[in-house]
Amino acid sequence: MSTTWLPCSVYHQNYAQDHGWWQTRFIKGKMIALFIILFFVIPHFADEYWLSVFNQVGYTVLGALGVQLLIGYCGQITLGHAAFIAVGAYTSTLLILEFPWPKFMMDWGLAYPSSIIIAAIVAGIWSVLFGLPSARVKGFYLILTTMAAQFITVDFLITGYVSQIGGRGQAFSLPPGTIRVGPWVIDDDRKVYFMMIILVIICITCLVNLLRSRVGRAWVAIRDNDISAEVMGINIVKYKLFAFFVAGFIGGIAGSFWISNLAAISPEHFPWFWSLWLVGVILIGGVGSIHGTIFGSIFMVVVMEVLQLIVMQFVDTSWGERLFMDFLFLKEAAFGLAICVFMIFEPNGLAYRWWQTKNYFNLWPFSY
Amino acid sequence: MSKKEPILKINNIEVKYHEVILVIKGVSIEVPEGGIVALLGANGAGKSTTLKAVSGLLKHEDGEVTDGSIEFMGQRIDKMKAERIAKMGVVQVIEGRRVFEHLTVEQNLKVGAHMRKDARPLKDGLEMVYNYFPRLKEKRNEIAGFISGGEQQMTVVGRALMTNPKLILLDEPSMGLAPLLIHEIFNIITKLHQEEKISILLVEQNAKLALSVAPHAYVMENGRIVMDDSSEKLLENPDIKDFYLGLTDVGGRKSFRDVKHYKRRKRWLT
Repeated sequence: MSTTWLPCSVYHQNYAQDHGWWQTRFIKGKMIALFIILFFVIPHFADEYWLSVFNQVGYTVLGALGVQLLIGYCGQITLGHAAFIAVGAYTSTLLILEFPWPKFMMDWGLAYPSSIIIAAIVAGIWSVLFGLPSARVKGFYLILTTMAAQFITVDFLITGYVSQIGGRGQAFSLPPGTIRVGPWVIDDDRKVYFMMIILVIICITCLVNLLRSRVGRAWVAIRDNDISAEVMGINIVKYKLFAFFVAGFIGGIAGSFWISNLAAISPEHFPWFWSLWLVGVILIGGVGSIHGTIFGSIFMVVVMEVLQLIVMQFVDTSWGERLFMDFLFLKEAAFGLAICVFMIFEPNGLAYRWWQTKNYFNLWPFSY
Repeated sequence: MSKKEPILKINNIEVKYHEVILVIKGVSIEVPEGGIVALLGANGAGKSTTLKAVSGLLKHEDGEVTDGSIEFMGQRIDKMKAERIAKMGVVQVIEGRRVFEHLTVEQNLKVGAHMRKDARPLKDGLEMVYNYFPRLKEKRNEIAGFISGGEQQMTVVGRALMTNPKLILLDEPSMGLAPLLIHEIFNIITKLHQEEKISILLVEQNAKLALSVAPHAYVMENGRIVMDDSSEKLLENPDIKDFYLGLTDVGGRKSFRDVKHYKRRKRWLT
């Protein structure tokens, strides 16, 4: 997304101001307000149901960040991101259940946090493996190779082999108390919420900073014009693979975070539809924008919840009952409709509207 | 050897596309260190292909240098990857103003400095580019896709400068620009050449302008070099006058007999 105009009568006088994170005092105030809302207002006033909705949003944000990086910033269209989330979730689960952690790690509750890091790295490497074809193929052909990631990883390897480890059958359940961060046992939505918000903030901060650096510029250069990028001395293959690694890394964090909410995982949690869903999230939010990832996630989750509430109203009637049974299909239909409507009326996504609104107020009395 | 080694030596190369289409048939070009050399020719003569052969971009179009060699500072580069060649200091300004249109002008320039790791030369480089193109300094926070064509061309040349090049391959810097702007850009190019001692291989349709900038020029037709001489001599050459500069010998009307005559000679030349 483009740069935002400064408000009237605000001018930058040096580079430090020009490159600052929070360029005006208004933005600083806004961010502090957001911080207070996220850490104090929401957990204090929201009930369990709303917290679970927020957790869903956070999970979607974490999952969609990687997709946003690949599609929106590096131009590598991917339709298999759920695979890397699944790799993260399964690595983390297996580490917690099977790995002989030293006693002090268990006592201090370090097993789960360190499993998140390991899961992220494993998912990143797995993602690089399926990013390798991007050295040779572009566009539609790359979509197919990333879809292969989904089918090979989830449908073949995880369902067929990984789920059988330990002879538990299909689903792995995590006994209460195993998911523990330091002294806190993550066992209700409020704790999951705090973990989610911290992970989301860390991931977004790191990714945005990466995008401002030479790595980020190289990614956008590859997206905008890969031939020019190559002439500038950018090693295209290396940077594409690095983008896949970072995307997989964040996907792995998303996966291993989500097991704290699920407490039991099975391959059905990571269907191919979830990969498609994440692409839909960034299309609706705005491709090439971190704001867009967040707006898209909020929009999609809230729309689905509202849809569910509406359907619940009619459960008593006979046709409503059928509607309820068919909710899964209703959800998919709503997803399709939302994408169609957005592509026609708002092809730049919600982030574009946000950008326009911000500029309108920044330039307000003299908008020319 | 008393003669100074040329910085770029294209030695009798042959380029094929898709392994069947022979486009360049034995082209040899030498660019002296710190010199400007112009490459003239009609559309489809193979000028851009020659540049792509040097910068290593041929493989994107399924092309390959099948014969001959390209030497840059005494090292063979015709089998190298484009980004390796760029790292050695050869940078091509691709025709058609390929800015990264979603980045700001300054970010575009910073992408040019991708190969420089530390911050100090980056700042000096930005300072230098803004010095040559003051217009870019005004526009530095604008999105490159939204600035005018001339400014985009300046951005692209500036981006090439940021790589700290030894040799710039300029592919039609005047394409689609207003005559005044073309003059501005060419003035900057000559200034660059004089002050920064960068060698330039220039491909240009505007022969008069190119010959006024470059002391030496090659003329290509149908994938071959048909003439190569100093600019003064080329400017005097009746064929060049007739076909590239649009002047007739005596200022009289052109007759078809002369055209036929040239065609025959051209066939002999090629």
